[in-house]
Amino acid sequence: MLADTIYKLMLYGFLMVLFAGAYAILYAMGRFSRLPLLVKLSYLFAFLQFLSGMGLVLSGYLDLIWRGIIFFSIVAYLFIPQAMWKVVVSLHKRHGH
Amino acid sequence: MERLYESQKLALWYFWTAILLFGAQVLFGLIAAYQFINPDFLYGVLNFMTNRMLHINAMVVWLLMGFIGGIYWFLPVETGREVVGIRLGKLAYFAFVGAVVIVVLVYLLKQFGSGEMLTLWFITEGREYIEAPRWADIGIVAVALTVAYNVIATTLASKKITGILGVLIVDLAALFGLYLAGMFFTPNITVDQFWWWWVVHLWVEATWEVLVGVLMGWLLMHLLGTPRKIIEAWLYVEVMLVFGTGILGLGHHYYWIGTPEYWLGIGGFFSSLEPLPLVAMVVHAVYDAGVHKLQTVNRPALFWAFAQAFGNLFGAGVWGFMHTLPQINLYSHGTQMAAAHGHLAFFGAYVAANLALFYFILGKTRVKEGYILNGTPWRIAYVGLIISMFGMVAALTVAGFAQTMIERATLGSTWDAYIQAQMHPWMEEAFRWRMFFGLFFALSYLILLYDLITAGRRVEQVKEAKVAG
Repeated sequence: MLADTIYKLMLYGFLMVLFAGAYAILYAMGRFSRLPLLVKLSYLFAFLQFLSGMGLVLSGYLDLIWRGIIFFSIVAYLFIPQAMWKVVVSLHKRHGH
Repeated sequence: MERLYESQKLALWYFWTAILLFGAQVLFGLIAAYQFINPDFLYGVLNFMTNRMLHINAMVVWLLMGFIGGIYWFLPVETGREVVGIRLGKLAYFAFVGAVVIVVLVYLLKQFGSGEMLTLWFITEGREYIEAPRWADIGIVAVALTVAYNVIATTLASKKITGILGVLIVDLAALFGLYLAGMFFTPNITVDQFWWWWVVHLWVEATWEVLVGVLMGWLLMHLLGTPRKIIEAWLYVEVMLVFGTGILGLGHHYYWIGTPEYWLGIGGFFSSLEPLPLVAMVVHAVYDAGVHKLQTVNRPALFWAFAQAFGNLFGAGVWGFMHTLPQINLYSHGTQMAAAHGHLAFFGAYVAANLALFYFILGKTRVKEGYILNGTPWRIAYVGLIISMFGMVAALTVAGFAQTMIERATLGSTWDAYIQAQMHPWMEEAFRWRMFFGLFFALSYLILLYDLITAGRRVEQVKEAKVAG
């Protein structure tokens, strides 16, 4: 039972960051290439990232404070690619590159 | 081709030494990997503990040498003058190489006997990953101080302080200062581990990350022509994110060494934020790749630079986060899971960065203006090294899962549980796969070495350059 729980927690953690990375890569590629389909696809990975994180939150194995930390992280990761994209683009625009 | 500063010639010495030590790391890693399958192999001649120590120490030293080489290459370019203490720099290089040779010989020839203060000074300090005896530690600090002096003195002499140099100077102070934390003897193992992690974690997850940020910033400026203002602004963001999450992320190493319970919360919270700067870096890498359409005069340098951004995310982010929460780490701590994370994180973050820098330097020293550094061998080595690294990491992850689930979570961490897990087919199979991919990695390293020796000198490259030109 314990092994099964630990296995699931590890898997959710692994998938959470993996999907967060896939979301960031596809979002940036979609915005750069002006391909709305790619941007939409990136949102699928954002959702999967959220879902994996919720797997950790709803596992019942973690205390309330840890669930709070994980929930904060998965919400933050939803906005990071968009925020970083704005920072990168404005930085390059300001310096004419 | 530009005329080289003496400092840049020194950078080449550092890089070639680093690449040879990379080979030594691979060799000792292969022997250690085989000893997992056949523990009797070289028993009493070259024991597993010595192989593992050499495998990891060679990696630390070669990566550090590559970074120092990168600093010595870009410093005169940045300041527009020769490095002030270049003779001191060369002396430090020979002292560094001499010390490495002596320490390796001592590792190979003398690792048994009584432990006393004398052995701590001349044989081994006994601290995992930084086993070098104290005299060698003092040497490493002296080399780091020499580099710091050269950077500061050259910056002052040039009367030109840039944002990148400012970050480098602060980082170098931390680089040598933190190493001191691993040099004093404390009889209490908890206190000893507390400070030891300052070297092992803060060096690697804070000062090295920033140092690589500086070097990759210079690389992108000179390789892609990215404006300095952008590089510097991005560097400040990266330093803020890396230090903001990485310094207290140290707490994930304090879970089980006897420190107060609050470290569980601190470590878990900051560790869960540690992938944040890595995700941010990937966004910038995709943007840069799009702007330049992957076209440059030095394709291997560009591709290794991109591999650095993505590899860092996978190795440090994905493989790190999955076992960083204390509730999980209680079971996975010290298993092959940590080895899987370590392999991919070091490869992605630092090996890729060093190779990008080395290819850039080779392009500058061997390829004429208007020509392109490209070819087939670097592509084979690039794909081979990445695939074989992921293969080794996948095998180690399976072994780590078996240990975590069978030895720890199911059977309860007893000696018998350890034996059962080690003999489980998942572990045995995984070690065979790791050996296979280890051999694949070694072969790819040889192709990389061939390419580094011949890059820019082969006939097909000149032809390709003419077509492109």
